[in-house]
Amino acid sequence: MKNENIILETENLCKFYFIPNKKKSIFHNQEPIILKALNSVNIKISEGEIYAVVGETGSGKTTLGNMVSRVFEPTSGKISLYGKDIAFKQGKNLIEVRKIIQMVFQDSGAALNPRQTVEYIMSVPLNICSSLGKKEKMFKIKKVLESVDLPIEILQCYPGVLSGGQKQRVNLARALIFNPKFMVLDEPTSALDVSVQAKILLLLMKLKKEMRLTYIFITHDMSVVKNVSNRVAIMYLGRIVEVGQTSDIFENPIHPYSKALLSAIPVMTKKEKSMLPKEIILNGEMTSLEDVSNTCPFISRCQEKKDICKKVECPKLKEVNNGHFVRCILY
Amino acid sequence: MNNIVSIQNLAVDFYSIDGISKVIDGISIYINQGEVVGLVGETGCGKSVTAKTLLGILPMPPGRIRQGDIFFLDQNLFNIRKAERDVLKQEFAYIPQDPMTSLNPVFTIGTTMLDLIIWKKSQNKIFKYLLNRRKRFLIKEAMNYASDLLEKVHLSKPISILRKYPIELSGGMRQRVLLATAMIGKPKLFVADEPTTALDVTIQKGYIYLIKENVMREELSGLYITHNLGVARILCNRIYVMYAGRIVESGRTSELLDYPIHPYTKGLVNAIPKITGEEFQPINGHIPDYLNPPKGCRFHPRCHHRMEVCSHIAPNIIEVKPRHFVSCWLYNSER
Repeated sequence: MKNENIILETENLCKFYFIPNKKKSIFHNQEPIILKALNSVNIKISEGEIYAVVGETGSGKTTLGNMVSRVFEPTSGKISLYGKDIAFKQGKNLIEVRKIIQMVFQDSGAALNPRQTVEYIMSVPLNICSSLGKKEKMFKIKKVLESVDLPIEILQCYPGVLSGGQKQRVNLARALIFNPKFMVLDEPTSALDVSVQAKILLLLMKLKKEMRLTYIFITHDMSVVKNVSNRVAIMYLGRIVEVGQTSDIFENPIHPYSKALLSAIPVMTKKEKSMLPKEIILNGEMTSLEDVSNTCPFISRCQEKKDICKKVECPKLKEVNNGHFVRCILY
Repeated sequence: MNNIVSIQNLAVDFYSIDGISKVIDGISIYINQGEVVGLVGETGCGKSVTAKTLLGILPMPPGRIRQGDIFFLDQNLFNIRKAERDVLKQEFAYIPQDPMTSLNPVFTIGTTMLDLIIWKKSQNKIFKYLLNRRKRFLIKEAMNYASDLLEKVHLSKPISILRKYPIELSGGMRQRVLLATAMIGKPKLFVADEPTTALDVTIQKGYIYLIKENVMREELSGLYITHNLGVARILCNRIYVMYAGRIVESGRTSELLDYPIHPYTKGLVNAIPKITGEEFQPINGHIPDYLNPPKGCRFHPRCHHRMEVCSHIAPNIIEVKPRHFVSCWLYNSER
């Protein structure tokens, strides 16, 4: 990986939730259970890149996205944007950050208030972060709507009238209103139909070219990842287990979980099937985040596990190839 | 005849203040014994309405059946008496779409399954049911049966799961419980309405193989509704592609997906991002308004190959290759 133009970098980013322990004994208060939603995550994103984050539900993808776009504060760690630490910024300083990083939230329907018109929804960020006049605001809103291919008549509509694709476009337009440099897209297409999904993906590609954006693309659809992203991080239980160039990971997956994930893609044509690794079906469900021990998190479902795995602490990310990192003791 | 279900020329209308919307317009589907049939299409093209009409759970009004028949085991479901229909309906199983909302959150899994088992045992009669629900030995028997069923869907510790509330289970486990509940009446036909859309990729794969295993063991036939063509490829023997309330193409799975014929199917296949990295193309336009659908072929406003005929007369269904049917003027020689 080239070190030039790194736009965003995280160092040992952690998010812990403290759950009060219900089994209280009379004599002493027990310590709360620590739920490690994110466990020392390091990512580096260079300019103009599409960085995909993949994983199961509950693996911490959305938490990572929320943390990077500073929707909530991390427990510990560093997030540096253009070399400046933004992890614990607040108030006015945070508003400056918001103009650079924007987020598109997961459920396009739920992210829009059903009782506000599109015009109001779009003007909220402008009211908060800028002091523009009415005419200037309208000018800006119309310009953004044009860039996401929405008609101007839509401004008077309520979100309930819009179709799924249109809602997602309104969400995108709201995020784009400050011309951000960096966008966090949280499952932008998972609620959409195939043909609408293709439209939104093409739109995202177009916007990236026009506005020189950098994306974090959170998804669980591997075939979208293959078509869209430059680099992929695969997450499992709050840890990144494999990072690398998209082509590297698809051609040569190393971590047992990545192999299972790739082999589980439902494919349509014969040609695609020949590209996938041999089929692995994972037994059981993901272990609960509450009882994660210090050993490898994937140990309960791994099919290549050996006796060492249980004894040794969770291994660190190791570089296997140029820019291809794996967290597994066997490599 | 070895058709377990055959839907013939079915048309369903919905009555609203604005007018009559012709949602389903003359579809014919048959399912052979021991065969899983996929029904594929975009959102809002009438897949779920078809399934609900087949199961007889479509709310009427606003729905109304304009024409057509549904035959199940060579009996016309619309012509027989209600009591007879209820008996026949015991052969159906329905696997709903959303595992989060389909289980009642105030009852344990055990109670939900127990109620259903005893209801089946008391021949759908409420007095008998109320009496049976209090008999200790029947409850014990039903509990054993329920844990057997849960074991068949590969849930470990079935007895402890019976005591749990739906909220304590994960999405994949809930979907498995729903499959087990569907199998209570030893059905001959299952109708699954996008059961895997809410699941993760790795769990989805396990679930599909589970359905496949159940189909083999219980000799089920099925109608599987999905918009994921990849899932349909693994599970289904034949696929019907539906667009705006009409069947546009049908055929064996591998042939239909590898060599699609109808412009809509081609568009649908091209719209999916593939891991080979081929370019994907969206289909322009959107699903028509059912209040006044386009005349002739319903796909013609979005079609690249439209001709003069398309906007006037609806095409018939023709057999292009053996067991590969299509409804398009491009392949109709009697233009």
